[in-house]
Amino acid sequence: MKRLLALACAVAGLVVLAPLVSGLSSSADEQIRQSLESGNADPKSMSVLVFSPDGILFIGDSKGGAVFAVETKAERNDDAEPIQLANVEAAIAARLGTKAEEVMIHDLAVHPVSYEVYLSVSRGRGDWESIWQLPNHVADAGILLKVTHDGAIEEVALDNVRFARIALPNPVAADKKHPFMTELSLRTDTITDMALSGDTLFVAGLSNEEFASALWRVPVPFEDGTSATTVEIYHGAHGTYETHAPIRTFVPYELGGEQHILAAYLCTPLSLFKVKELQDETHLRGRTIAEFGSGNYPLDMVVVEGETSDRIIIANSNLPLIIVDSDDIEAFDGQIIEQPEQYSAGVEHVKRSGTGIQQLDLMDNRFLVTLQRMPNGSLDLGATPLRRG
Amino acid sequence: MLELTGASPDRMMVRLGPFDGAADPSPNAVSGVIGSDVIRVWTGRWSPPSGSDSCRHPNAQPTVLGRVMVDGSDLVFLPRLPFLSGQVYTACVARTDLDDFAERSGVSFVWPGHAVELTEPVMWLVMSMSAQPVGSAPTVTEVWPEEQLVPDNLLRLYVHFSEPMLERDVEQSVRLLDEQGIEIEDAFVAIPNGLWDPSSTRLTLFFHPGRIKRGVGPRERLGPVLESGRQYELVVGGDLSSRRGASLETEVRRRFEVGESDRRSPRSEAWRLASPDGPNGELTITFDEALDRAQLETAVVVQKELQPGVYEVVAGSVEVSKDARIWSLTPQTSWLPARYRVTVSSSVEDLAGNTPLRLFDVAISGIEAGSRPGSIRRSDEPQSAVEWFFEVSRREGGASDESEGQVE
Repeated sequence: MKRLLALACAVAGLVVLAPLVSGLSSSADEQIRQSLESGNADPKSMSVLVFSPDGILFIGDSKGGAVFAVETKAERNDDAEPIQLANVEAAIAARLGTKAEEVMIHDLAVHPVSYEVYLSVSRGRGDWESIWQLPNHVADAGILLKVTHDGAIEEVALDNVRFARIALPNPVAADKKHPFMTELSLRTDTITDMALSGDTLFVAGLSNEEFASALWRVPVPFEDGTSATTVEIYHGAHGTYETHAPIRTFVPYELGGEQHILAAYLCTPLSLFKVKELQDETHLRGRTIAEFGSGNYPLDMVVVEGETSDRIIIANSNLPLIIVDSDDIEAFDGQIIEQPEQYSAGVEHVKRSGTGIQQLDLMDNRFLVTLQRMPNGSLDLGATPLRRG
Repeated sequence: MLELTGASPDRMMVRLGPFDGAADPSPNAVSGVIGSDVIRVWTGRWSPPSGSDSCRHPNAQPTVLGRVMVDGSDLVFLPRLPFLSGQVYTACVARTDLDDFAERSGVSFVWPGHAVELTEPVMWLVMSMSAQPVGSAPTVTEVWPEEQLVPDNLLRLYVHFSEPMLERDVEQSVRLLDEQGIEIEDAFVAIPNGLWDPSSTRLTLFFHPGRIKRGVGPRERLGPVLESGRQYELVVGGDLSSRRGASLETEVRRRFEVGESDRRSPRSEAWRLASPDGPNGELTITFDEALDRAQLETAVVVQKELQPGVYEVVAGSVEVSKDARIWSLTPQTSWLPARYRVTVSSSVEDLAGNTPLRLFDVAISGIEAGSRPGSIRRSDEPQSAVEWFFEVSRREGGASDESEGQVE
């Protein structure tokens, strides 16, 4: 409880008005539903989970180089309190017949209807031994679990469900290795993050192109016409343009009446891409607007809407929560094109307590749901109320 | 009492008892999957407090995900993910859970003549998967080719295991040594997670083709992998492990000698079919040279003609001689009076990757004797290199060749 209070402090003052408007209308959701067919969805690795507002689960499958849309069963639960569960890894380990240190949670998503917490999980962390053992990097998430309101952990079966699958064009080949972590196939980074906006599912990751970092735009419901744009940004901490490093986490965000992708990279630049410039089979350079500092891995990002401006909240591996005000992004018309003198640079941002937060999602506009590595080593599922105002 | 009757990574089998008399393993009133809470399994060792009437973990630890089925006289717990070696599990069966199940399903646990009566309200047992999982270590059963002498342009080695193996990179585990025990670098093509057959019991090792084909970079730079007149040893590391988590334990070594290059296509006109000499007799094909054994599994097809132009594949057990020159089929059911067709695919390769229609490697300087000029690659390669027909007559039940081998 004390721990949760600490987190509450971290985000006190965040002002929330409305849920993040990035989803589909329910009629669009109905269209997706109609496009699904019964069968066994068999993602090879559940790297990324994203829900539509109505509860269609999009699963990014890095190893399979594909995205699944799966219908989920959920009971409406408007009055539900957010689910909190200490030491989630131990509870999952008990269910999977193993020890907590063998459990890895790859992604978290809060079901928008039932508010149950969905987790893609692997048992075992693969052969890869690195201090950077973070989700999306080791082992294949082969099991989908949910935490229910009574704190139980149940499997979400993917056989005999209504689903659709679409292959991403030209995902990075399985035999391409990470430049210095040579045990690591780049295939694990085929899909690093996804976000739904209108009738488009944006997918970030690695393509098989020479400039590998890619943003795909997948039409929803799935149909032909996925566009693939390779992207690069200037990375101040490295003093160079990054063409290989994938976007780690991103959100679609409207700025000045134009849809953008606000993307964070390893080590830790924040960059903007204009969605209208994400054309198929083209290469696009983004505008780097901030450097949050090196030695860090941005893990997850959400937008909390406010009355006058929004807050972009970024969870990090080695830095605390970073919060950026949308007004500050609007006001910043420059870009970083040379190595900054200071550790961080660019758009104003504040750092708040909240180290060790590995996963973020929103429960409506009411709660920030987190998976946080606590000082005692336990990975806790928690929720922090977001005050309206 | 609760008795453990069997355990492997994918199941835990228990028997309830004792009964009046031996439990009869014949089918009982309940069978198949019966849900998940008839046996409850937890990680770790614990026991229900005395006087307890239900399986309830003292720390409310969640149970292991899985299903329960009935198999003969056993209750079987099938974990969602395999049990792990070195991990201790506690299984618990409570009378209340059996009663609940009976109420829900309308069936009780009845072995013929015995309704199940638990002697105690709660019974439990502790199971530990030993570091080496139950059962013996996996073994290398065969390495193909089996012949001691192979050509210096040998294209593949096949390593067979006794059980499905964990698919992973094998570069660190599989090595090729020369007579002095010095490892030959880059002998095999590195394939992510190894090249395994669908059953994960056969690993294919490709000698680096760039070091076999003459006049290409890797061979010019590094030389060939195998040299005629020398001896080599394939070493399969003991760290390779099976899907159930058991490792080979000891490394496996296989020595072979290398002879001259094989730069000739298999001569399909020299292949001979011997039709079966009786209703259950063997059908054999003799090749002019050793062929790729793995490919022979699918390359040779024996079919029975049902009506003109309509064929049915003849099932049976196939044997290939150690020298991979004789293929034989013993049919599952007797040969019947009918016309049979035997085909061998034109894509079947010899040990050096040469097919009846093309050579794996053609010298840039000119076509060597024995090869087939102009047949390096044909887009219209026919399906079969050879097709034979034979007829089993009604009277004798034996067979007679109707035609000699017809070479396409």
